[in-house]
Amino acid sequence: MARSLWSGSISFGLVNVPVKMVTAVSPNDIHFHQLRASDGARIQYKKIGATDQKEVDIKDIVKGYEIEPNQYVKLKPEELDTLDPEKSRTIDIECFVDAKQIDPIYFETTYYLEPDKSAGRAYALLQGAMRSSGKVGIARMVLHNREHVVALRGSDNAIALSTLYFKDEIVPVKKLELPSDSDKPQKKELEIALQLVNAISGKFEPEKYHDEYRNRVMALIRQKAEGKEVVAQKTPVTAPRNVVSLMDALKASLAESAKKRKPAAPAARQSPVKYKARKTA
Amino acid sequence: MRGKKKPNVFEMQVAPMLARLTDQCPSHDYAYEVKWDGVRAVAFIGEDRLRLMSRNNLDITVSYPELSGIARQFPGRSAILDGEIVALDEKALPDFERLQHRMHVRGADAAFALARSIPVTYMVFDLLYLDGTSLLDERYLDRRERLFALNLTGTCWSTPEHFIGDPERFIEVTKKMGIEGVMAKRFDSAYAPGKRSDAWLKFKHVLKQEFVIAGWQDGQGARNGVPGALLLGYYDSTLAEARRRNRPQRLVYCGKVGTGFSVRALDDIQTRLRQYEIDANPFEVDPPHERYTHFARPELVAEVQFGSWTSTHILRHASFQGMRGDKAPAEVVREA
Repeated sequence: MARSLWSGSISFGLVNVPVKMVTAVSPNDIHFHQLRASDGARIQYKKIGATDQKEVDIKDIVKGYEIEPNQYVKLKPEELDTLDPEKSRTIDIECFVDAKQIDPIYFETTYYLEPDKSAGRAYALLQGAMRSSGKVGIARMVLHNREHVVALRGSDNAIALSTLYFKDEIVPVKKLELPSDSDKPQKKELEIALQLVNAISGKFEPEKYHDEYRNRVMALIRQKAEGKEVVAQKTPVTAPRNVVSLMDALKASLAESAKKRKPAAPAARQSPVKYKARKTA
Repeated sequence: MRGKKKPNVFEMQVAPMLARLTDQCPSHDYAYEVKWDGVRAVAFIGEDRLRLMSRNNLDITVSYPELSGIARQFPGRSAILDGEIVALDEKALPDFERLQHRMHVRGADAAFALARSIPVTYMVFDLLYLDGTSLLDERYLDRRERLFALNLTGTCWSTPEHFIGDPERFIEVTKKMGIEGVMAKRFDSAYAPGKRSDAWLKFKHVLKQEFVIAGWQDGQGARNGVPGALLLGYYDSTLAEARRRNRPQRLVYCGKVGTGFSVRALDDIQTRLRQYEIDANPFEVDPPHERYTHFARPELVAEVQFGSWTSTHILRHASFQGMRGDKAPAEVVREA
């Protein structure tokens, strides 16, 4: 199974269900690298100071928050660390709500929870209860040093966990330019529109939809790869260390000692002279 | 074999042949090679591509991009090579600590950047397959002859010669030069994948081997927050031996190592050890009880140099050399 991203337990009332969190979605984005067009060298980024263009070491970088143009408050990692939420290994369910009550706009990222070895029964019970009641558990948890509100729900035979956006992260509809009251539809118009909606109603079948752009790009990549239109980055070694020098030194030392005593002679020669066994022993 | 399709090297697996530790180099029927202090790697080459596999059968190709060019020395051909990847220091001597910076890198970008600052060299010492034909049953000297006939030369790979003659001189000279040790290989020996026998012998100038890390002691003072020392052990038998005798492997405590670390290495070890922390003592016999001691599941392997063994089988003057991601803990046994 997938690598677990977090482990802990779901807690509600007096019940504790030990679980592991794993990825539930893996976006199929095509990942490109940047190359120099002429020779295929990979492009790298350097962090430089804007005032003197000098490279800045990672340990000399702090975080700055821009309070007004060009005015920053500096924050050190230690200072931020003290603000971290208390580390916790539990998903504390506060209440169960009707699934329909949550606007999908609140759902951020979804994961699956897997039961720990011994927790199968408790897990299945919670999962089943949520599915048959159509309820979703709202809970708090600490993930990557941040406190999150999450929603737990039964999904097939698994429990899915979605992190939720906070209310103030959602753009209020008031900020949009929407139809005014005078634009409200007439009852008759609404009926016609409803008929149209019903006429093309169906089931949501996710397998019917594919990312056609992605398929076209991948087809092009495969075609180029098969036609050997592939560039390899040149080996970036600048200063090869001379291994021959070690073997030369070894041979010289052996030759030196040979003057005094019975020799140990090299049996093979380094190219460009071709190998020729000299069995001297 | 005629008419049969040649096997695809990338679908093949070859476990590297192993050597038995000796304290006496045989003087007849053996050739001597430099013992390279690095990581063992078997190279699978075909279709202008290279794949490097470690001793524990992991694909480590991405860690060493500068070696990919060796594939271009085999146009239209295929081969399987055996050798050792080393990082050489200013005196052209293999430096295992330098290699540490390369061994654990799995990202292509990081590996490319490091290939420039700490380039490695692949010391090729055996040729196992050529153009789909197995050379495993050929004599050592014949395989060496075929290897040299390939004329492999590049900035990042080399085929160092073997020597024939008086082993005493070879031992003395290599020791004086600071080389780790000597390999002795029998002239007529076949290549036995994954096997350890007297066909290949290793003679070490310094005592050095892998040990399992099964705990640590909290550091004090400047070492606050990282280990002050690691608890080391080895198994009393290999996994295969234990199975044959139908009894479990036992982990034997053999002392602590508290020197030889870089700050970064300690940090990294601490992070990794924490995830394996356990309450129960993993050793067969309790190590001496000391304060601030934690136990860990025996999952990590360290290379340790030491002065000698005490009469109670504890390491004396142990010094940490680096982590060995390429050795399975269950295969760590006492060498001598």
